[in-house]
This record gives sequence, structure tokens and C-alpha cells, in this order.
Amino acid sequence: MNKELHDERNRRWDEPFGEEALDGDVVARILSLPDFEDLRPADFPEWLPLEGIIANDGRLRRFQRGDVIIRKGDYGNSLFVILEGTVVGLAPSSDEEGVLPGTTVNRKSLSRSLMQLFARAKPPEYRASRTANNDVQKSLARLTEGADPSQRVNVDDLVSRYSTFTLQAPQMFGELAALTRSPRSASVFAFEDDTLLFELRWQGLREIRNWSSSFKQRIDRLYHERGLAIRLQECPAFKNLSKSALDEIAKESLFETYGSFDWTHRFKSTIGRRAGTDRVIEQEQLIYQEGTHFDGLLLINSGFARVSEHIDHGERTIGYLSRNDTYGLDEILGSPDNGSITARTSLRAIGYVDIIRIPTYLVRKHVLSHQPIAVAENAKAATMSDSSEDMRQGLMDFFVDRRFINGEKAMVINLDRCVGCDDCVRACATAHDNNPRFTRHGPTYESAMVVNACMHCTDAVCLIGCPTGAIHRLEDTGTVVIDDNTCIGCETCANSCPYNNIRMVDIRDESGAFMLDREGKTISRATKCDLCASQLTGPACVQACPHDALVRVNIRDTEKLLKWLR
Amino acid sequence: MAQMSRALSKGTLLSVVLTGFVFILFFLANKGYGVALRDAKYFNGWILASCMAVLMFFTLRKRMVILPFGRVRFWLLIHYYVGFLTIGVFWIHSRGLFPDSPMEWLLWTLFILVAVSGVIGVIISKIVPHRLASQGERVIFERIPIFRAQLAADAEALALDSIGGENEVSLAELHKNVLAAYFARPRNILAHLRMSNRPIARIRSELDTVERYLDDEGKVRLGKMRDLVEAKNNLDIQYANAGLLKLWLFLHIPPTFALFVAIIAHVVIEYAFSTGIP
Repeated sequence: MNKELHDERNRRWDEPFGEEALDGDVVARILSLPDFEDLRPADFPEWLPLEGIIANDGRLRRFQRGDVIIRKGDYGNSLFVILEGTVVGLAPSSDEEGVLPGTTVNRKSLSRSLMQLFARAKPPEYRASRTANNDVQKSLARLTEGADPSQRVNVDDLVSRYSTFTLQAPQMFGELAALTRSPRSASVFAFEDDTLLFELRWQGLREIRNWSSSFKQRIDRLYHERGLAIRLQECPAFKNLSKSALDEIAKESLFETYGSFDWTHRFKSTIGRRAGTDRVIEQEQLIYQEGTHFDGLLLINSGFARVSEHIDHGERTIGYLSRNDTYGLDEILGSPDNGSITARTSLRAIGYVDIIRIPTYLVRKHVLSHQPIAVAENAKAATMSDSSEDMRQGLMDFFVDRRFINGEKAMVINLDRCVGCDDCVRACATAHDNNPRFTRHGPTYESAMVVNACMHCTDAVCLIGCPTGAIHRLEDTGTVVIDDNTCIGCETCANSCPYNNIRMVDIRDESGAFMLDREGKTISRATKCDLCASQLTGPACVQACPHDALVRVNIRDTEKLLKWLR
Repeated sequence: MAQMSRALSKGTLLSVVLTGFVFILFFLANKGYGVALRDAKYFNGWILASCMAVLMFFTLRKRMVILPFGRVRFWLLIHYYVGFLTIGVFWIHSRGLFPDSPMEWLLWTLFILVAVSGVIGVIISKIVPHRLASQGERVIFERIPIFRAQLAADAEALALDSIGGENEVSLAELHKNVLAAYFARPRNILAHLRMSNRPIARIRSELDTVERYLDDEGKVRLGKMRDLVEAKNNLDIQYANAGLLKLWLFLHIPPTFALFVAIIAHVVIEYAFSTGIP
């Protein structure tokens, strides 16, 4: 069989994280670091050797003094270990506005867009040969391994003006964002010239964590130690507390997880059934039952929770909580100091939810005693989006039961305005070489249709199982995209997506024939909406709609959504 | 009410006022040409041709959607307002009279066809989506034949089932005489465009008529048949109205291109036979 055909099927580590895989000496150096020295190659399976993970999922990066290593708010897909030098980070609570130069988004030029418009039509799902693509990928890797000197900052100035922390070799950082698929919580800069870092992409971190229990314990401990303090600082209710108060709260607080990370499959089978939405609430793990004893303020760390009240023989959803929202502040505010507190509503995990439980006496001591009114206002602000616009119960149930509240950039069509011209689909096809990345169809509530297009979720469960990290978030915007050069077509992301918004396609060569592997099987790739990340215009579907009938919207931004739907 | 308030927003009123102002400016300039004893036909003719060119930009913009030239919805608004302005300019250019030569008859007819279909398009694009949204699940137009065939097959199976066990003939006869034809293809298109319930009411009463001849099991089958009839009725409503949204474009776009060619011929002929005094 033709060798070139065989090569077209991507394999894990076809594309190492760096320009090339790390050599044996560097791998040995990494494995001798304190964080990795406990790792035993024997714990890893033959098909996934530890050295292979380090060599292919890791890379070395060298920075000069003042270079930006990570930027607060960017979506992190990796952790860093300092090999040489020192780094300095801005405390997560720092107001960083104006500190960092703006990032540049990698978009096509006007001339390239014009060329795309007038290019000869290619077969559907055509892919260029891997040899041609590899050159582009390698040059991209080369570009990202260093740092952009134009983005350099004055470190002395930062240290004198802001609250900072310093990390030295061989300390580790960045694990919080890499583990939780969330934005970076602090900006970090190189403090010395020739600072050398080892960067491990998150799928490598995941594999090592999965196969080595000692590493898992270490990483999880680090995550809890640093994560709790950082999370408390980020929450508006705790923002103005002193360090000693925060330390006391962090010491007494508990991390708890409800529901299951692997909620997708059960959800999909339930929602697929007739009247499935009525049964979804039964699957959600109860955190607090209405009327039961209440022992602490809950701060949502990640995921979503449903707030409901009992009515007749069922539960009526009255709201939902997401990251940084608190549950129980009303109960604590409205109860006497030493009296027993009972929950006024029920709280359930939607899918899974990470919470931080803060003892009531600490909330009274540190939070309510200093700023009760401000806290109450903050609590109101957190749920304002639900109350300022009148969301009808049916719409609330529709969004929560179907878990659309996860959507950051959901495509919603207002059927009262949509004439069905399909200009949105055509525009999507134009932006993606004649391959539309969505179907103009989806679950509907009255005039609102949530279209089967990637919603670029807050909790993007499609990222969890990808063996190669082909599906990932863009660092600057958080858009979830698929790297076609590393996608092995395993369908894990498509099966994980709770909303069926990822599609597998069989790829073709220039003649339009299906590409086949050595066994004569077609080669698949995962495809989905990428928000036209490389286009000058942003999402082409929004650009193209002549009747303002289509919007990309955060479903939790109910005020904006309801105004638009009116 | 909400739709009306949307339609009469501040922006809309401002655009209408602006369009009216531009038309008055044009009208005064055109009068000025007449007062100066110049042939105003060349002036208003070129203004008309320019307006037509601006209207054509909308089509171009739709084709170049990945270029950053503003959202198509803004271009559509420009298309609407310049379109209404063009009708006024055409009225002045043709002096409100039916022309007197075959070439101009063609131009006049094509312009009227494009203008009328355009105005109808504006109206139906505001009315029909709301109508479709109120008819339950919105179906992709191209998939309607698939769903219709599925409903027809289900109805036939139900009718055959009724003569299988209990040997009831009334439902099968009703299917043979009335329902088979009803399910076979889109029905009552004009009635659905008028939003008339008369055709479905007749079929409902046909179904009600056979109910007295059926036992409990037969009534369950009849209930299922009612559901299928209602589903087909909804599908027909979708087909009629969504089809109208597609059809009007065929009355608007091909004549537009024909008009474009006719305008070029008109300009060439006018200059070929002109007196040379603009």
C-alpha cells in the first residue's frame, strides 16, 4: 500500500509541542527535577512512555527580562517549570489595566481574504497533504517558542507599583488554568535574562497525572493551596479582605465537588428521549435541600448549579449559579447570629460543580461585620442578569434543562425575523472553503432557536478526552478550535459534546477522492464552528444575516438576549 | 405591538426623514435643470442609474461576506431606503407616464416588476417569519418533502393496520378516498397563504364522521391519524409560506439583471440619438 496514504492519518505526537521533540538529555534533565523525580517509567503503559510524553508534550522556552510568559485572562493550556532564572507575577487581585501591551489577534489580511473569495473551488472537506502543512506548523511552533520583544514590560516598574510574587527554579506555575481549562489567574513575567522554562501542554499533564499517583497528589495539593487563595481574592464578596482574613478563611474552607465530570453521555441519552427535559433534574446531584440545615456560604468555583423551589409535586427552577456566584448569603444575612439557618431553596449540581464551602461564622466575622451592605449589593449584582429582564419560566427551564447556560457564544436565531434565506450557512461555507460548519436547526423555545453550532462553552467538556490536544482554546480569545494537523479522528470530542455540535467528516484529496489509510479505511477529522477565528470580520454568519435574526451570545447574559429576542 | 415599535424605531424614522430630504434635494436640483433650459432627463437619468448601482452593491456585499465592509443588515437597510428613493427618481425620470416606444416599454415593465417585487419582499419578510414561528417547529424548507413522505407512509401503514386485525374498513376507505391524496403532495397552498383554516376543518370533520363506526382500538388509530393530519397541515403551512419567501426572490433578482442590461442599452441608444445638448 502507498506509504504516503498511510502518513495522512494523524498519530499522537506527529506534531510535537515544540519545533522538534526534546532530545534524551533534556528529557533526563526534566525527569530529575523535584516535581518529576518520583515518576516511575514502569507506571506508564508501553504505548504511552513517560519519556515520550516529556519529549513530545513538552518544550523549552527561553525568555528575556520583561518578557510576558503568561497573561491574566488568557486561556492556558499548559504548565511551566522554571529550569533557570526567576519569574515575577502580579498578584491575582492587582488591577492590571494598562500594564500589558495589547495582544494581536492572528487574522487573515485583506488580500488573503480576497484571494480566498476568488480561489478555485475545492472538493468538499479537502485537505492539503501533510508535508505541505507540516512546514507551516513548524514555523508556527518556532514563532511561539520565544516571546515577542515588542510586548516586553519594565519589570522594575511593575515590582515597585504592584503587589507581586516571585518564583524561582525549580518551582512550577500555571497548573491551575491547565487543570481547570479556565483563564489564567495572574500575569507572569521573566525577571532575569535567559530565563529557561519547561512548558508541558495540558494533555501531557493529564497523562502524567493519570498514570502517576504521587504526581497527581502533588499537583492536586498545589492546586488546592494556590487555587483556594486565588479564588477567594477573585470573588467580589471577599475582594477587600485583609491577607490574614483571607488566610483564615482559606484554612477553614472546604473544596467540594458535586455531580460528575463525565455527565455528558447520561445527559445526552436522557435529553434525547421524549419528555427527557422533565427528567433531567432527577439526575442532578442535590447539594442543599430546601428547608434543611445550612452550615456555610457556598462559592461556585467552576461549573453550574440550579436553584429551585418546591411547588406541588415538582421543583420550579428560579435561577442558576455559575463561577463566582455565591449561595446562602441571603440566608445568613436574614438569620440571627447564633440561630439555626435553613436553606430557603434547593441547590443542585448541573453536570458537575466545584464549590468552596466557607463556614458561616467566618462569613459573619470577616465579611458581614465589615461591609454587609456592599456584600448584599454584590450578591444582588451576581443574579441581576436573571431579574432585570423578565425571563419567563418556560425559557428559564429551556436554557437550564438543556444546559445551554454553558454557552459563551451560542448561536441563537430569532424565528420571528428569520426568513430562512440560509445566507448564514452560505457565509459559513464561504469562510470555510465551501464547508459549512453548522446546520440551521436546533432546539427551539417559542421564537428562540439555539442552533446546532459550537457554543464555545464555559465548561468545554469536549476538551477533556482529546488524546492529542487537537481541540483546544485559543489563548487570547478562549475560542474553542480544532487543529486539523493533530486531530486523529477518534471522535472523542464529538461524543463528548453534550449538544452534538461537533461533526466528523471524511476528508478528501485534490481530486475529490476520499483519503484512505493503509487498511483502506476513510480518514475522519472532527469539525465544528471556530467563530471564523482567522477571518477579518469575526463570525461570518452574524455578518451575513440581513434581518438581524442571528446573534452569537452568552446565554447567561439574559438581559442582552431577552432584549434582542423582544 | 413589539414588532410595530421595532419597525417605528427612532433610527427608522430618522432614515425615512433623511431619504425624504435627499429626494427633495434631488427634486429641487432637477427643477433647477429645467429652469436653466437644460435637458433634465440626462441629469435624473444618471441619478437613477447611480441609485440602481448602489442597489446592486447589496448583492455584491452578500457575496463578499468575509471582507470587513460592514454587516449585511446595514447594507439591506441602505438597499431599502435607496430603493424607495429610486422609485421616486424613476417617477420623475418617466414623468409619471407610460412610455411610447418598445424599448422603453421593456425598461418600464422591468423596473416596475423589480420595484413591486422588492416592496412585496420587504412586506413578506416582515410578516411571514412571524407567521411561521407561530406554527410550531420550524422545518428546513429543503427537508419538507422528506417529512411529507414519512407522514404519508405512516398514514398508509395506519390505514392498512386498521383492516388487518379487526377488519375495519371506514378508516381505510377514508384514507383511500381523501387522505391518500392529501398526504401525497403539498395541499391548499393558497388557503395557507391566506391563513385560512377551511381545508383542515373539512378534513377534521371527515375524520370525526368515521369515529362513530370505530371501537376503542379503532379510535386510538383515528387519534393517531388526526395527529398525522395536523402534522401534514403544519408542514403545508411551512411549505406555502417558506416557499413564498423563496419565490419572491425569483421575481426580484432575474428581472434585476435583465433591467441592468436594458439600462446599458438604453443609455447607449439615448446618447447615440441625442441632440448633443445635455
